[in-house]
Amino acid sequence: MADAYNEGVGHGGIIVNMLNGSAQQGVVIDPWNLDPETIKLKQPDQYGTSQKKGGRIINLSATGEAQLPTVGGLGVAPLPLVAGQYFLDPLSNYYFWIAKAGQAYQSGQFWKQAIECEQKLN
Amino acid sequence: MTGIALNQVPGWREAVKKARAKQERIRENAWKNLAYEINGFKVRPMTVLDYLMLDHFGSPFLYRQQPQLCDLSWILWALSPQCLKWNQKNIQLGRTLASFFYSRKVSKKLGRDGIFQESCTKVFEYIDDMFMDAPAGMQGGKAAVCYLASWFDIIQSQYHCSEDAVRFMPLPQMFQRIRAIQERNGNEQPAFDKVEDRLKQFVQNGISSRKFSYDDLVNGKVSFELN
Repeated sequence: MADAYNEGVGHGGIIVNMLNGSAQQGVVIDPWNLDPETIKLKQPDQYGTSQKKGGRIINLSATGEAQLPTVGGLGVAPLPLVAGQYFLDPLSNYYFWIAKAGQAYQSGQFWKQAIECEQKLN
Repeated sequence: MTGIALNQVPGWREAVKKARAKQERIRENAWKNLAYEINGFKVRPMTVLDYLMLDHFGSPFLYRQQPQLCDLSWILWALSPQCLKWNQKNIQLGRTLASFFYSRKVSKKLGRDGIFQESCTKVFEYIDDMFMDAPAGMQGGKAAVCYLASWFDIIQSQYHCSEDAVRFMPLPQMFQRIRAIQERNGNEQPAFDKVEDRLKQFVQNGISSRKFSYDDLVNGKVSFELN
């Protein structure tokens, strides 16, 4: 899925377009941790012994830490993220929506907040 | 393209590695109590008391405003080891004369246009270093207590040191201590690593203001050298 971990540098971070303020803006989510939820499929024979096994991803969830600027480009005032916003994850190529947006903290010119995401299924 | 993984960007890993090394150096220097040097003038690490004084007199260096030569000479004097010595001696006339001659020396050496700008940039960088680990504020949080009360309360409740010990504590050391205390107490606020965060902000701003695209990033057309 993602590149292998490399000396603790640049692993797992993504930058995605998201509606923020009144325009589409780049939002950095670093780290971005995908957690695939799977159903294991088993097909038993007449004695109950498993003959076939398979797996199917049913719903991906993810956690991350979003970083946003407090002053946006093109005269747009960015806002902290809220639940319901969605974006295309470049690693899995699935859409994710924010299920829970944590408290935004500001230091200098950035906001940071923890987010919990779910795969957008429609 | 509406997004990319950052480790696909050529030069990103190297830039992050460099930023992390810089951060580490700044944090380590805070514990070595090394004096900074601004074009030949030595400057101590800023203490809480120094910060309060600069804030009280509205130093433009704290507020990212355009400084004048008198602002430069004043901050260099206020943060110099000599000023600290005179303050400890508490001889008013001697201190006034010393500050007068120091300011004259600064004006003479750093008053010319090019070197004045360069010195001001170095002072701004020094301020950035001092505040690199400053505690984050909550968006929409209630200001029930003054930020100073929070600083003193966190440090004194954990280290049991006197008010004077906190006043004379270098800011970078105090901020790192506050962070360590918060982590130890299970505070789950996000970590701010400002040098690395500035790099991310550069990419973010470039995308948002359409200075470059995701394709430019992936194709290595964006340089991170200056950031």
